[in-house]
Amino acid sequence: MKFSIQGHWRGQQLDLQGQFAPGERVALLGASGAGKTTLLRLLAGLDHMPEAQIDIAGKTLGRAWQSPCSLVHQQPVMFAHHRVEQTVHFGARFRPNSQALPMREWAEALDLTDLWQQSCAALSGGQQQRVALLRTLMSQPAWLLLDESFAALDALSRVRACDVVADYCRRTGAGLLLASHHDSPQRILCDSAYSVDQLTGSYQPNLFDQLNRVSSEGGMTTLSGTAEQLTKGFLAVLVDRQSLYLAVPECWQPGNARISLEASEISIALGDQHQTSMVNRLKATVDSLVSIDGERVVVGLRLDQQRFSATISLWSRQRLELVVGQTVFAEFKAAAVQWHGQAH
Amino acid sequence: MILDAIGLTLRLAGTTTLLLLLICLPLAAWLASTRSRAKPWIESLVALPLVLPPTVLGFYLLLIMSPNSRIGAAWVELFGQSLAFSFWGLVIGSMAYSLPFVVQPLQRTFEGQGPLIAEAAHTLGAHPWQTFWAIRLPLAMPGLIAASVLGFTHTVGEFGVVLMIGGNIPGQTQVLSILLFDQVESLNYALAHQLAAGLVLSSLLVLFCLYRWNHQSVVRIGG
Repeated sequence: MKFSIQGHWRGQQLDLQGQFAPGERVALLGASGAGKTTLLRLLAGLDHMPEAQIDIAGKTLGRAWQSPCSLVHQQPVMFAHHRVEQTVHFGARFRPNSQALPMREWAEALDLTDLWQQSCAALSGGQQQRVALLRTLMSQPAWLLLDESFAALDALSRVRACDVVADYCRRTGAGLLLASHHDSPQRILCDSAYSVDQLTGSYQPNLFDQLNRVSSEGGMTTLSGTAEQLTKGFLAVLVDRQSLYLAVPECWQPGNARISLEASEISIALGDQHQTSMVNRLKATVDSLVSIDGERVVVGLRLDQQRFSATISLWSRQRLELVVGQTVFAEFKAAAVQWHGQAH
Repeated sequence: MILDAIGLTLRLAGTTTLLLLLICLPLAAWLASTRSRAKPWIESLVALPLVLPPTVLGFYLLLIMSPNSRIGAAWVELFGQSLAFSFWGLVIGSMAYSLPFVVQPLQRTFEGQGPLIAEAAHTLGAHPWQTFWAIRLPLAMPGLIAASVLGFTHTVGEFGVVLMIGGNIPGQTQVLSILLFDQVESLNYALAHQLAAGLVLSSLLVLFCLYRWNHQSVVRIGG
């Protein structure tokens, strides 16, 4: 998909240009009002800007119903006269379906099986959002555009919805554009990023460069590793040749994995002598020390290849006498490790 | 005489309502979503019969339908019969007269659906006709029923237009309201009472059923 959307439109100056490979999974980053929804609506053909040039799979974008992109609206749109089953089948009716999709399996994963015969009008916001997602997947778009489509879901349903979307992309080779205020769906599903700031867009080939840079002020870092095996009720993941352990996720398989660490949940120790009941100890090198707000220090830590950060108090830093280049141990509980899915 | 008038009235109202629905469904769907500059003009034209005295409408329709006008002459050429003072003349007059009562509830219903409903269907790959039949029309059913009931009862109750273009020919153009007028003129109050009370009761009953049903239905008239 290639787009060049430049010019004055509805009282705004737009400058959105980009090119995504087929099947690419792109996180749309940017503050609210930055223009993410504007971009998604133009790509879906729901809004039309005469100067915009949008080519998808070598074809110029036509009207919304001819577009190979499907947008799942932020507010789920339900057809009040449909039951859940009807509306999901309605989704499958119009585009040529290149392959059979496991509708019932996904419905089960999205917790919709019990609602299958219920009227769409009677569902809660979160239920409607899951129905709208499944309906859109069944229409088999070549590009799935999600605009805050997980916003009304709780944490567990969000992860399951991400699994379903990942399964859809894997089976059909479809691409994904995902705008989300919660960053966990993006960490699970996306590889690259497109940042929109004040209606101007820019592309980043590596999403985690972008997300983890924000976390240099503390916050969350995503690391990639290899899921290995179950050990004493925990899942062992190898990150830069060191093992760490986390609570066993609902669904996993050996292979690529993404895990994320929250900087504020990591503490720093100097030697082996303080071996405690903590599960995780990663040997790392201090990369940087940045003081924030006069009370806390962000410690940049380097493993073999990857970096992450820990936030500690100024007092701890002085007590440990930390310097750049020093070897330390980053300690954190298994519960502090977040499972962010398995990259494809 | 009464039975003739009742039969004719029902036939007129039924035909008028059916034809009006055919015209008004696409018109209302278009009016509800268009941003065209012509929209206020067309809305004004549609609403005109609400404010005009029926006699004004009837007068112009009579001029158009007379065999001296082009349209009237063409009709005589085609069907061998004058349009004025005929059943089909009444149908056309009633359609003009009841137009706003059918267009407006439909338009309100389609407007109440908002733009997102159609967008969601389009983004699943359904083109506008498929969206209309599968989504917008079923959702507009309450408005459709309201429009049919209002169009029907309003046609049953019309008087001025019928008198101007249909006259008072028993079995052909003598509908219930004209028959009632006729009976009052000839001081036949007993029959007039029966007709008037019958019209009041039947109209009341139909409207009661409409509102009762609307109160219970999930998707209400007007969104």
